[in-house]
Amino acid sequence: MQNKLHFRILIFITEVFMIEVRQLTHIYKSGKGIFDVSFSVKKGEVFGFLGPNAAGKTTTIRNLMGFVNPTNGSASIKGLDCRRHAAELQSIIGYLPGEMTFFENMSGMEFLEFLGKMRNLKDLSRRGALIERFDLDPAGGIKKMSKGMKQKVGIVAAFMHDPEVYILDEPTSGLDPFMQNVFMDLVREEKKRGKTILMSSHIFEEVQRGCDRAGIIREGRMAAIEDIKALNEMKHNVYIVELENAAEADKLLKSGLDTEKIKENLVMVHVISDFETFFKTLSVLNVTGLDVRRQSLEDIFMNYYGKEAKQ
Amino acid sequence: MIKALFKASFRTNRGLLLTSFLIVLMYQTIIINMFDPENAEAMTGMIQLMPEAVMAAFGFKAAATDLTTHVANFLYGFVFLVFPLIYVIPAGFRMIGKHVDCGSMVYLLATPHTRKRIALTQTIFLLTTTTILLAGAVLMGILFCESVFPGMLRIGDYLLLNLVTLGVFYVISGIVFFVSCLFNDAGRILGAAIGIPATFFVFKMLYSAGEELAFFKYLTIYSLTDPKLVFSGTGKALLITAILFAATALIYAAAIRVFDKRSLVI
Repeated sequence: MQNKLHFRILIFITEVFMIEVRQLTHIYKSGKGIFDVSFSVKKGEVFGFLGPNAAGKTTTIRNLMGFVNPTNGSASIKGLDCRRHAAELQSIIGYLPGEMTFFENMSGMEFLEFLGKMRNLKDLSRRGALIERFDLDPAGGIKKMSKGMKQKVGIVAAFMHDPEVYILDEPTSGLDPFMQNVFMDLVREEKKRGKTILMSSHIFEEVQRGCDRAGIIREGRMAAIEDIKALNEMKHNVYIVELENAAEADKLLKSGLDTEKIKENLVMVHVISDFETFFKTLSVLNVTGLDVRRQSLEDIFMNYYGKEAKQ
Repeated sequence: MIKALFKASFRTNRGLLLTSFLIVLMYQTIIINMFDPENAEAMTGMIQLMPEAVMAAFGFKAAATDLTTHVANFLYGFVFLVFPLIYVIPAGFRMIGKHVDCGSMVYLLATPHTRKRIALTQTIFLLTTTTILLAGAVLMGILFCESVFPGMLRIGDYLLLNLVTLGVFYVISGIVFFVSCLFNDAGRILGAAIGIPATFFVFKMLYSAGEELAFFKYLTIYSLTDPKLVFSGTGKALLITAILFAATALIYAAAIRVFDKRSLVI
């Protein structure tokens, strides 16, 4: 009876968490690497893995793909250890590497055909649809392809076998803004179809637009894991108000709003939701200019975690 | 075995295989053509004009009066020991190490095949093509000998010599494959893959050059293809071959295991 219960709990856990990284540590000979990284990604979730270059994103992904032996901790997908069950897991994983190195002597199409055969892929309709969607000309030799074109070949290769889990290492690098949109649309569609997606990026906006949750990695350590929605709610609206003279500016500074003096007649105002008070205050002052300072999630993150990291 | 990978490997290596085959064939044809039973003495005289140790190092000792000895001395002293390496070394490097070095290994490992299966497929490929290269050369050699000097080649002895040579190349291909599985970067792999057979060959030249350096024959695998040793008894030659084949199996098994267990920073 108890065994049965345990089994059910196990099934429950593996169904909820598709990807689980537990206290994963991987140290290279240079001493760099990742340290004690833990996070999990639920089924049907898009998880953004954010961090500057050389922060440990690719190292984490190498562990998820089972390419390397972790120094400590573990990574699992669908409850299976990523290193021990690497080959088994590949039938449900779609992987886009961070660097595009293919078989040099093949054309784009030959490469896709080769991978299709390696995967024993029978239904090629998805491959054709993806080629069309990304406006890819796969006939040319891979050696002579531009970075963007290579990236498209990689995307088709990662998505063509309709996997359950996507592991995408900087998927939009090399794509022009239009193609980046096409790609993010594809990610959203896959999410709707219940697919689990982990994508790394060093571009904040991309994660903000496309992900449900984001993990921030810095110098090999997980700095934060946050809901994108919660982050958006933390977003301030920042205005730069230009006033006629210093006396007017003083009035604004003493108005009770969240203000900050920039110059004699320039005041920065943070508004979270009370726009009424903000505008009422402004209406009785001699305002000569108003500027909106865009605050990205990156600023918010830096506000919250940047200070911590510096300490 | 993974058929698609075998085919892709063939595609990558067919040009190299053909080139190496033609080079071996060309030298083989020239050397067989040099055989002249009537003028064997004149030939010996000519060889004696050269510094003796140098010629001996390359296996050119004396002109033989029978075709089999001629072929054995001239072909298996240098040409057949070195030229097949033109294929074996680069192909062995390409099997695993090249994919790891340039990063294309990620795509092989992103397919639902175990590393063991991938490495085993590459093993089968390298051994098959090495066999094709040598068997093709041997077949052409027999055909050429029969058409120019009909009935003069002792085919049994010739095949025995080639069987031992094949065993030696299996072992060398195994060494190349092993370093291909062991190291990450092209420099190290090629350094070892060229360096080890080259050292074997230098040792062979040393022990062939003079009696006082004879102990070098225990340090080189090439001493096993010495025609004197091979022709001294069929049983002995077959035993050597069996040992070489067993060593091959062990080396490849070790290579596959190393590749399966290691961390691949790709």
